[in-house]
Amino acid sequence: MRRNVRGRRSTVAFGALVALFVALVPSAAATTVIHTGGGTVFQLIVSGLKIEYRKVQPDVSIMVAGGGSGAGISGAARGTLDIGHSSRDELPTDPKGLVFTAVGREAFAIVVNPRNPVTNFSHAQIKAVLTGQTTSWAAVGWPAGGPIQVYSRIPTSGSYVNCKKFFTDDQEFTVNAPQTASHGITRAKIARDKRGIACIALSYVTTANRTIKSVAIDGIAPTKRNVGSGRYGYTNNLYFVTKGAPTGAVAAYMDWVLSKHAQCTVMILYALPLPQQRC
Amino acid sequence: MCAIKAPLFAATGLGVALLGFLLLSSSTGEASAPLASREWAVVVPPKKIVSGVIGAGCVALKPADACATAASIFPNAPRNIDESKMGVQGGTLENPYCAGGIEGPSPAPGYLCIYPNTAESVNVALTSDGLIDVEPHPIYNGRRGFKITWSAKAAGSTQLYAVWAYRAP
Repeated sequence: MRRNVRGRRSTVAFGALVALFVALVPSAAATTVIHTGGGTVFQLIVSGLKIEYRKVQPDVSIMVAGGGSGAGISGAARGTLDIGHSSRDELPTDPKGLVFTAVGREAFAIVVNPRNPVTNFSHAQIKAVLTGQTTSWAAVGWPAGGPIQVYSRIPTSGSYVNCKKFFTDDQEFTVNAPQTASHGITRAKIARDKRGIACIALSYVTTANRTIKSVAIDGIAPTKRNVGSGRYGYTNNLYFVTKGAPTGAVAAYMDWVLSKHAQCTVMILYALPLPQQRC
Repeated sequence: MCAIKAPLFAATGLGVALLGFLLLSSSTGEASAPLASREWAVVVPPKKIVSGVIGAGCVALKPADACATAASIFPNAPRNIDESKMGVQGGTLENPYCAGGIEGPSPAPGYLCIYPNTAESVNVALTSDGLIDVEPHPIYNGRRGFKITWSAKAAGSTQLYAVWAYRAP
């Protein structure tokens, strides 16, 4: 009888301890959530960053959303995002009090089909080609090339804005250019069209398995080396945007993103690391 | 008191050990050896591609309602596939390592790439950049399959179909 009482007591105590332990587990695993969003180019980058950051800060969870750079900037300004993502520089029209921190870079390149023998354009030549003033490959060094087929991104995309800024002095691409929704689709089209030409992000050139080829501009090839040295200047910064200087978990995360480890293991996979890290 | 404390201590130790075992076994990344020995299929060989299709339709009650579907990877992937190793061509999570197109997928080693057939898309939301509002996610560790979620442009039937391909590292 006495043994049974002891048994019941120990069973009850065991159950209570297990319940207490189970109840404590969720609180031990409680996380700080950092809400981020904005430029779509960041969605993949931050997917990689958050997986790596989880290894060093398992209690911090990074949420990422799209919406475009404008949405990232306005979200940071309104406080709905802890970090907004922007692939464009700060504009005078942006809300006041925002801090733009460069966390990486993106370069743009002119690409053609591998069967195209053209290897170099002057800035004036590429501007004339993309705007439709030059319509024949013969005019730019490929006598048997036939008509030029320019491919463009959708005009509302940040990439189109950057390509215009870099290669056409902000003039619109030719109206004959089919518009594609992404760098990946553009790359696939150029790989199939020997008369095609387009402007895409450098990360889509280096990962193309030679299905497309890049063309030098004024003798400077769009390589990571030339971008890193500053010789190839068709690059723009990628920014984390915060309302004021970041603090707490957001500051710790941003410090880590700027670290050599994050820059040289994650950023380098999908964009270009900051030059000071010398990956 | 000592008579009570001893079994209590033993029970506590047993409970903690049991819970620890359960937690550890649930967080282990891959199936244990006995399970693997029962499987008849091997994983995707190094550098080889396995591919298939994924797609579904559902009814959105209002704009931006989410629709989702899943696909199995068979044979299984030899390593975990997380979001950074996935990409949807023309989608909000496009990946430069997803080369090729729907007619000839060419993912880089270790990557799972999804190539939507836009001609079959119905009522799928696009971003202001013209990207398909679709996200891929691994199911568990991604080795056996994945899911995609997308948003409807408007209320009503929404459909999305795609070819997927995975290349083993």
